[in-house]
Formats: sequence, structure tokens, C-alpha cells
Amino acid sequence: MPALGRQTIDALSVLFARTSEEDYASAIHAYGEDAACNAPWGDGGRLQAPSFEEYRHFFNQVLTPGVPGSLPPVESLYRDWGGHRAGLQHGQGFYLGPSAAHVRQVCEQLDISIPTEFDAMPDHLIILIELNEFLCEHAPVEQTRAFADEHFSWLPVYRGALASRMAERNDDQLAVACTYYDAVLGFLETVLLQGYDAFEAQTRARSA
Amino acid sequence: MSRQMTRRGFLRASAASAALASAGVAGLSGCSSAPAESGPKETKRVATLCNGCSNECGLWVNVRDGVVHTLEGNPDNPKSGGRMCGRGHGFAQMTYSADRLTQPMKRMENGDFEPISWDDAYAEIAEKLTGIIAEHGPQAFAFIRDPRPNINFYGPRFTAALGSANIYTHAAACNLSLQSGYRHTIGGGFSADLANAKMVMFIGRSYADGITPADMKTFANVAVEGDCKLVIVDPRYNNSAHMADQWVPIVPGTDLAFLLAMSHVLIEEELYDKKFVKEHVLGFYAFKKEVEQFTPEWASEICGVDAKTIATLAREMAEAAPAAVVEPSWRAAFGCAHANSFMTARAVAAFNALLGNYGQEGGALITSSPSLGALPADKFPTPPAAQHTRVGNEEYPLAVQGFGTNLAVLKAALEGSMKAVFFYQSNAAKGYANPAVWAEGLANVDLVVDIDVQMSETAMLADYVLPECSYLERLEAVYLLGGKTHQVAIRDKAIDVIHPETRPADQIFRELSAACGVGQYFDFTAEELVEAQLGTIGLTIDELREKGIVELPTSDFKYGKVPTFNTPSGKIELFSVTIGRAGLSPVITWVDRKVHPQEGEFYFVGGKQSIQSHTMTTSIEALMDISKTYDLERLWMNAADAAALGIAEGDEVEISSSEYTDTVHVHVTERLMPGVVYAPTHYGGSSPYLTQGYEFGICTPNFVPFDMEPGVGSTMSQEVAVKIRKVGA
Repeated sequence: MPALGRQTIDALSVLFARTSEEDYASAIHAYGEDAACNAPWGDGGRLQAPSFEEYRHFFNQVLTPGVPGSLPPVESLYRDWGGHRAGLQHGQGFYLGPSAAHVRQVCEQLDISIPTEFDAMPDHLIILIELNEFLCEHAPVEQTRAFADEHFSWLPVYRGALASRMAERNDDQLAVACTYYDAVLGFLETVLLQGYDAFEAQTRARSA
Repeated sequence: MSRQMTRRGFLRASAASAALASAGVAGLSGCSSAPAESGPKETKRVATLCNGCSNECGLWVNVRDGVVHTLEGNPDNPKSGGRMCGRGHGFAQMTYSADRLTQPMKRMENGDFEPISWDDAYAEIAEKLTGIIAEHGPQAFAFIRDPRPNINFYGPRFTAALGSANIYTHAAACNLSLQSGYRHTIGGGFSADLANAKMVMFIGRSYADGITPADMKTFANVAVEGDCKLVIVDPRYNNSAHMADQWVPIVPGTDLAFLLAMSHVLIEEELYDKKFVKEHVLGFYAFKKEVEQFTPEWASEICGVDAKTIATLAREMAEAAPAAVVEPSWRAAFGCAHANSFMTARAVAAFNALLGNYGQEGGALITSSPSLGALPADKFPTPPAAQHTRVGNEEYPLAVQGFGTNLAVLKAALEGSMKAVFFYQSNAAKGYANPAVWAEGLANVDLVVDIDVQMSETAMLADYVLPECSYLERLEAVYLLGGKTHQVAIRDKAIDVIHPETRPADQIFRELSAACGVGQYFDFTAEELVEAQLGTIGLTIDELREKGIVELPTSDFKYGKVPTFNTPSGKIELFSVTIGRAGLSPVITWVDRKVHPQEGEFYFVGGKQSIQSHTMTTSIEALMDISKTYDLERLWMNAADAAALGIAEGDEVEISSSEYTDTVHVHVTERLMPGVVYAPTHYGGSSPYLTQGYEFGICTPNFVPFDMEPGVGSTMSQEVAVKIRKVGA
């Protein structure tokens, strides 16, 4: 199970959690002056990172909960809510589903605390990524593999939803950032579910 | 000791975390099944009040591991009677919905909303609001709310603290005409003693469509037992008509003619209760003289009910009196619908007076409500009374004072004199009057603030949207229930706040008032308020939490005792000087509806469906699934009318009025009288934030011209005629 590495996690942190212009620039430029070229999802320099304004617009319109047409990257929203609880209701599109309960349970076991801003979404993508990274570093590999299989299997669904939503919107600024985010998500989907080899094979295939 | 796991990371691991992980973590893939295998670690049951509509039914919330598991009716609560309706079950979904507001939002110059911190939102709102009040006076600030127990405490207090008298409920788009008509005729509202009646007439009201579980159970029991005649007067064979004995289709907006003619029959044939009238009625002779002209034949020409049926129903009601009653109704037919709604309510009250049924078993019951004592002044100081007359009071003096007409705020906004408007869980701009007019009016207002759980169409017109946590996440001011018995009930906090940047109303008003410089009136928590409220009646919050509802010993109701009528004369006023001074006929008389369909046009009526509450529930997936599965958005049309226009079941039609044109699919039916089309009043959502109901069906207020009923200022929601055309024909 591959770890993503600190630099990548830091970049993902600014992409998927609200951040200031200074932090955004600093994290993106950590990959070098031309950030996109060096980021693992940068497609060998062909993919340009969004400007801060493009990032901010995308974050406000797409990643912010409660905004029309937004798609917060929260696992519970894309998985069945009811499941074993057999209580209030089933269906999708609800916070604090079984995946959230599971993340909380794992964090409790490991004595890891989740900040209060994620109370409603302990299974937010960035939390999952950080937790996965921690497991990669410290937990037995088969258990880490199981966690990743369990908690990143929604990423293809999420990417599909994002693509559909962008097709519905006629917003060039959003589209620029979305292209970048899709590449990031594609990287995560492949690496976390299939490993770096698969990602590199994909990259080679695209180049060819 | 903890450490941040990455440079910008969020998780914090303890010194032991790595060791724990390396030792192996049980259940790392157990997301879908582990909790079921281990069972819940913690369960609890919490008393609350449903928020799926305004009935406030008492519920128990069963919580497992901090998550709502199930809800059930509280058997001790007279509104739920231990049951819940579909809305109640479905509405709980709101708490976990992806469509919820999760943080304060500010509208930017380009019209988009962006998150803003609470502190910044408070500071900006306070600066603008206090500036507006300083420049234009407190009369330039208004507060409109859906009247739930909590906001009935905080809304008026906040408005008064800022020196304004402009506090309003939603009633101008609900039951303002009806309640005002009763207020000025019998002193207030009444209820029908359905369980003990021999005959009950429902005008426009359908218990099966606007459900209160206990009322629906009583209605069904009465229908099954079969010793009470149930009559449904409605252009539509509504869902209560299935259980009734007789459906009387009637031309919309002409119930007044029907009632006047029935009164004519009772008086002409001397079937009225002469003793009751002599002792308890003021203005009978003026009324008698007035209704001489309103024969069943006259009424039949107007209302479409044949004269023989009118006379027979009147006689049957007299025969069953005093255990016979015209049920008070609520919104649909004359709550706010037509130019004559106020007078229609008066006529209902008058007809019941002729039956002599007030206070009688099976009749019209006027009961009392409990009240709390004064709160300790040191902790809960009362803001001084406003020094100006509420906007709208002079032009619409007959509106019930506790309601006011919120449309006066819209009118003032259109005229430019209203500068700041606050809404609390009130989708005024979608449902209270024509939405385009609301948008135009609020565009004139310098500061619009909306406090809500979801981004309603009204919130979309606001400058700032402050997100409240859902009803399951907050403790509220106590709820008092009146009637034959008195109770106090609680809406307790069942679960922790889910989204940390949402806040309960008590916190919002405490912080906002402090920012506005009037924090001294809100320096207490919800818990302290409830404790103080209950202290005035000798109860504690723990007692109430244990039972959810507690009976109070103060009801003075007794069958057979004629109630006190809270009118100037102390009698039922069929002639009212107050009403005459307001420019309306002092004696109850005929008032025509304002809009009459011309050739090729239809009456347009709306009404509730049992699984939706106005526009509020159309964001709920479980409820919208039902609406979408059964095509509940369809426009009803009589089969003969449809045939004449070449329209078949499911066809798409264009519906147009003087104000608006839209398309919708049609349900062809015999359950609607010819010449009328019906649409449910829930749909046509236009907030893209609320994905479930967005652009599903049509929004009925879009079609209705902005206007206000004389005297009371109701919205006249059905004063419109529409044309129907098959799309593609």
C-alpha cells in the first residue's frame, strides 16, 4: 500500500480544505515554480494548476456544503446511509452514514482526534487521505489495504458526479479548475485503489 | 500530548497512536457491518416536537450512538396521539441532508453566495441594521417568521429590542382572513367537537390532506362508526371525501353565498336556536334583514350548488343541532384565498350561532389556552414597547394583532420605505405572494437577513443567510397547548449539533443582539429560558424531559356552558361597529370574489398533499420520492373540460395567467368540478440549492397577481383565472 508522501498530502490539504491565498501558493509551489508540472497528477507539465481565484471559485461553488450544485467530497454522501441501522431512512445524500461512524471508530481506537470543523463529515476526503497515510506508515499492510478499499471505493462515483455536474454548468472558470481536480481525483483513485504502478502505467499510456 | 500528522494536516495523533496502529486495528474494513455486529453502544430516547409542519406533534426520538434511529408519536400528546404522519417521519431526513446550510453565507456583488464567519456576519449585519434604524427609524425594520414556539419568543423580543413594532407571522398567506373573521365575530377561534357531533360540514378543509394525526384518527373513527353525517364542501373531491357521506362541489370563492343561503333557510323557516340568539347574539335583526335576499336560488346561481341541496343541508344541520357544526377550516377555502374570505369566516361563525352550538357537545368549542407567569425581570428584562404603529395596521386594521399582515412589509419595500427585513424559517418569497413581486420588493431593501436550515427561495434573496441547526439538534422555548385540557410540551435537543457552524436560535439572537447593542435582552441560554418558563408554573425541565408533555390543571372547559365571547359587546357580533369603521360592511353580507374567469378560462385552486408541508418539505428525498413516483405535481382537470380541449391523462399543458406561464402534466379526473383546475401548493421549487424539489411541478403563487384583501391584508391566493392549452396542439 503506497504512502502519498508529505508534500502530496500538504498539496491535497489546500485543494480540499478552505485555505488562504498565501497557503495555496505555498503548497502548490512546493512542487516548484511551475507547480502543475511537478505534481504527480500534473501530466508531465501539460496540466496547469488553477489560479487562486479559480481555486476559490471552484471551492465555493463545488466543494462547499450547502451551496447549490455543490459536491462536497464526503464519503457518506455517496454511499447508502441506512445500511445496518435499519432506522430512520435509507438512500444516499446524507451526512454521518456508516462510513463516518467507521472513521470515528478507527480514530478512537488509534487515539487520533478529528477537528470539530469535521464533526459532520469525519469521512471527508482529506481526513480519509490523512488517516490512510497514517495507516500506511504505522499499520500492517493488509489492514491498510482493507481501509483503502473500503473508504476510497466511492471516488469513481464522485468523479462521475463531478463530471456530470460540470456538464450541467456553463462556467468556464469552474471548468478550468474542475479539469485539474479531476486529475487529482484520478490520481488518488488509481494510486489508492490500485497502486503507483497502475498510475504510472496510465500516465505512460496517455503519453504514448 | 498530541501532534499534527502533516504540515497542514487536520488529524492529531497522540504519542500512543503509532504503537496502537502497528499492533493492528480491528475492523478496518468493517464500515458496512461492524456496528450491527457489535450493536449500539449508547441508546437514548428524547422528547421533541415534530417540525414537519406547524402542528408541533409530540414525538420521541430514539437515538443510537448519537445518530437518530427512529421517531415515534408520544401517546400523551393530544396532537400526535401516539402516531406520526409521513411528513413527520420524512422530515427527520432534513437533519442529515446534503442540501442543508452548513455555515453562514453572504451574497456577493455578482449574486453568488460565499461563506462568511459568524463574527463577520454579525458585525456586518449589526453595522447595517443599526445604521438603517439611526437613519430611517425603527419602523424601517421588519421581522417575518413562521410562528413556532421558539421564534414566538425570540422574534418579537428582538424586534422590540430594536424599537420596531413590525413583527409578523406568515398568516397573510395562511389563515389570517379566517382568524380575523372569527376574532371580530366570536372573539377568537373555535374547534369542531367532531367526536361527539351528529353532523359536521367541512368547507375546503381536508383532514386527510393537511394531517394532524389525532384529528385524522377522530375523523376516520367518526366516518367508520357512521352515526355522524360528514359533508365535504369543496370544488375538489379531496382525500377526506372518500370517508365522508356527501361531497358538495362548489365554485371556488363562493362559499359565502352558500353560507348566507343556509342562514336564510334557518331564519326563514325559523329553524335557528332562538333562545341562544336572543341571549348571545348582537345584530341578529340586521343580519336577518340582510339575508332575506340571499335565497338558495340566488346562491345556487353563484356557487353552483343546487338550491334544493342548500336548503336540505341547512335543515339537516338544524335537525342535528346543537351537535352540528360547520368546521372552522384553515387555509384552503377562506384562510387567505379570496376578496371575501374575511366575510366568509364571519358567515361560518354566524351560521354556527344560528345552530346555537357554541360550547355544546358536538358543536363549536371555544376553549382557553394556558399561559406562563412573568419571567424574572432581572434575568429576562422586557424591551420597551415600540413608539410607532406597526406598518400595515392602519390600512388593514382588522388583521389579528398577533399575526399582522406581512404583505404590508412587501408593499412598503416596493414603495421604498422598508429598509431592513429579517426572515426566520419563512419562505415568504416563494409562498406568501407572487415570487416575482417579492424579488422586486426585496431588491429595494438595503438589508435582508434570513435564518433558516436550508437555502430557501427567500434565503436566495437575502444578503446574509444564518444557518440554524435542525429541530432535532436544539432545545427550544416551551410549547403550550390549549383546548379542553391544557398541557406544556418540550422540544429538546435529541442529538449534538452536526454541522459545527450551524447554531440554535437562542445563540444566534444572543450573539446578534449583542452585536446590535441590545444584548441585555438576550443574556440567557435556551436551558435557562426553559427553566425560568417552567418555574412560573411550578415545573422543572427534568420533569418535562421525562414525559415530553405535562398536563396543567387550569382548563375551565365544561360542555353545555356557553363560552365567553371576547368581542367588544361580549356577544357574537353579526353586526360590528369595528368592522364598519374599517370600511367593510358592519353586517355580514355578500361580497363577491374579485376575479371571474372569462370564456376559455378556469378557476385555479390549490391545496395541500398529506406528504408535503407548503414548500418546506420539498427538499426531503423520502417525501419527494413519493411525489415523483406518483406524479403528484400534476394539474387536476375535470374529464369533460379535458375532452373539450383534447387533453388526455398525462398530457403536458401550458397554464397561463395574467402574471405567468408554465407547463405541467395533467391528471384528468371526475374528482374536480368542471371549470376549475387544481394544483398542489408545494412544488415548482426554484432554489437550485434544494435539489430534490428544484423545478418539479409548478409554483402556484407565480400565477397570482399581487393584491391584498381589504381590511385584513391577506394574499388572496386564489384570485386568479388561468388558461390551459395542450402543448403541441
